[in-house]
Amino acid sequence: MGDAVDVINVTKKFGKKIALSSVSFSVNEGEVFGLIGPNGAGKTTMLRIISGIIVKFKGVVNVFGVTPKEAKLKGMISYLPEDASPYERLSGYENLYFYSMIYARGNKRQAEEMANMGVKIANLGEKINDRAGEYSKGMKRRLLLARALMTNPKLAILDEPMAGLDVESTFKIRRKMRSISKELGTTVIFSSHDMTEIERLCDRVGLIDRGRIVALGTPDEIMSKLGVSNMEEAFIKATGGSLD
Amino acid sequence: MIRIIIDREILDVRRDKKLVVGSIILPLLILPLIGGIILTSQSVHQPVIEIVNQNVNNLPYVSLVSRYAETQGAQVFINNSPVYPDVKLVFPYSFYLNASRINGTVYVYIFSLISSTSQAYDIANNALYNLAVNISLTRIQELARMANTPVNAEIVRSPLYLVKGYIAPGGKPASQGQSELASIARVISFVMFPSVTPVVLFVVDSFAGERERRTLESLLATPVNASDLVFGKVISSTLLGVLASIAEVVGVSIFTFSVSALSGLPFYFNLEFLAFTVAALLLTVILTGAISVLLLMLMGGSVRNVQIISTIILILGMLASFSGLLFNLTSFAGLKTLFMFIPFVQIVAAMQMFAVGLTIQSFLYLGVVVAFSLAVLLFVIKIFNPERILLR
Repeated sequence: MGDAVDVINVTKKFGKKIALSSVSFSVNEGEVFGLIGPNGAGKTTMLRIISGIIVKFKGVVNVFGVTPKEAKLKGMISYLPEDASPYERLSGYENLYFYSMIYARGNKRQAEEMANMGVKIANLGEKINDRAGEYSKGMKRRLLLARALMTNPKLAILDEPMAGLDVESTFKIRRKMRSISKELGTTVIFSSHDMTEIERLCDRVGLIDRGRIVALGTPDEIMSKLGVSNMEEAFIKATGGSLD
Repeated sequence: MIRIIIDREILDVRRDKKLVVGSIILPLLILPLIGGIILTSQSVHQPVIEIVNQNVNNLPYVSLVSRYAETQGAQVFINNSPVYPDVKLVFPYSFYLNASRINGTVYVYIFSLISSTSQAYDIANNALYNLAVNISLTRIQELARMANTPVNAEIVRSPLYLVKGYIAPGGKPASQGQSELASIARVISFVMFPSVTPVVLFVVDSFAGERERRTLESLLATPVNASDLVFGKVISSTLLGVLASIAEVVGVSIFTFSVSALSGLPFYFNLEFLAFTVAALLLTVILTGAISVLLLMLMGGSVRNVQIISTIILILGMLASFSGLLFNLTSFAGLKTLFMFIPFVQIVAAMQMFAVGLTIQSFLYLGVVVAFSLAVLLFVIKIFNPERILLR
């Protein structure tokens, strides 16, 4: 398997503030890659660059050999922002169908298949036909995750995908992320604060702090290198915190 | 892709009942309401004129003024007004003496209540003019008698007879109907922008609102490109504008028909003018869309920036409204030409031109607005940067 994503020496500034500083890492095709770091570390900025939302930066980013903008236009990328929300006046199904139509480029049959896949992933039962504005936070998140995964993207970029979900939903979504990675070969990049999740789900992890990658490798490699027994301790140690 | 964006926007709008109702109700009611306010203000408050007469010999003159003012709808009290009058006329003691002399100057003192409308003052002024004419006629007859020369006092007093006609700005003869239509065009151009405010705000909100509702970032990461997004949103806003413009046309028709019924003047509206009004309103929406996305792209889509953009557009619209009401935009020279560089003024000018029969010029102006809007939209697509809308 080749590289799905290559990030080479990426620097991004917002005014005088440096959000990312010479960040480099690669994500292999079909792997689940976790991007972890404290608040304000630069995770969301990195994900926005890979998803083609931020196009002005220094350095090089390739997604399956093309720029993120091209990959976005070819429909290879699916991106779930951290604080995204569905269209609240549309039903859950209508939300899924709208995005399906975009990815199916107006082909209604394909769009319906895609949306039905989304319905299965969201697992909202009859509520899928209710207006999304009436959903709880967790239901909205499930709908959005379904929206991101139903298109069978080559690369799924998920910013805090499990935030706000209950235990059962988290378990199901985690299983779904694993299965699309293994069965369909989808590459998944996601950010999270939940270290248990990272340990269970990720093939490899990039630990980012103050705009720099401070640790990179499999969870086992990182834990072994830092001399700790779990990813929580690894996170604290790598970001300069104290374990006492 | 544009179709997909439009379908979603329309579905969203259809379910936003307040927006749909606001977009229809405001343009439907604004002109009839203005008409209602004018009529109510006239019927509720009858102008009051008090005449203070200081000499009983003045009575024939006072009666003449009083009768004239009453026929014009004023309430007249002589020497004992039970309410505070809008206008007080004082006929001094010496009035009769000076009026009956062949070359005497007569004085009447007129006091106007400072918070009063000009209606009472106008009636009093006209009544006094009527009195002056009467005194003049009497004097002319007296002079003719003294000179033993038979004359028609009316012709001596008013040798000028006006024969009224109309010409269009191009110099061609025009009808009274065209003149009335030009007046209606001014009124419509004045209320045109305020009445489509809900649609205008919807256009401004179409990008920024998505950012606020946190749906924009997901959309920007899809295969939808900038032109699909920009044109999709502008076109769907225009469809909402169609609703608003139909409502406006109905409102204008009600207003014009009511004015016609109350004043006894013929109803001058025609289908061509109604169609042109719809086109002008739709262009207002499209131009708003173009300017708002340009400003959004240059300034960024934060709440504060969106408020600034909305304010800028509403101010531009107000300038166009007032220029349509206060100026004759069918011809331009010197400094007035600068007005044409204010967005929306061209649309108002086109409406005035169409109403007076300058059809080619009016379509030319609309064409310029269409070309300008398209150029702006294409420029926005060229410089489209999701980061700017999303993060600035």
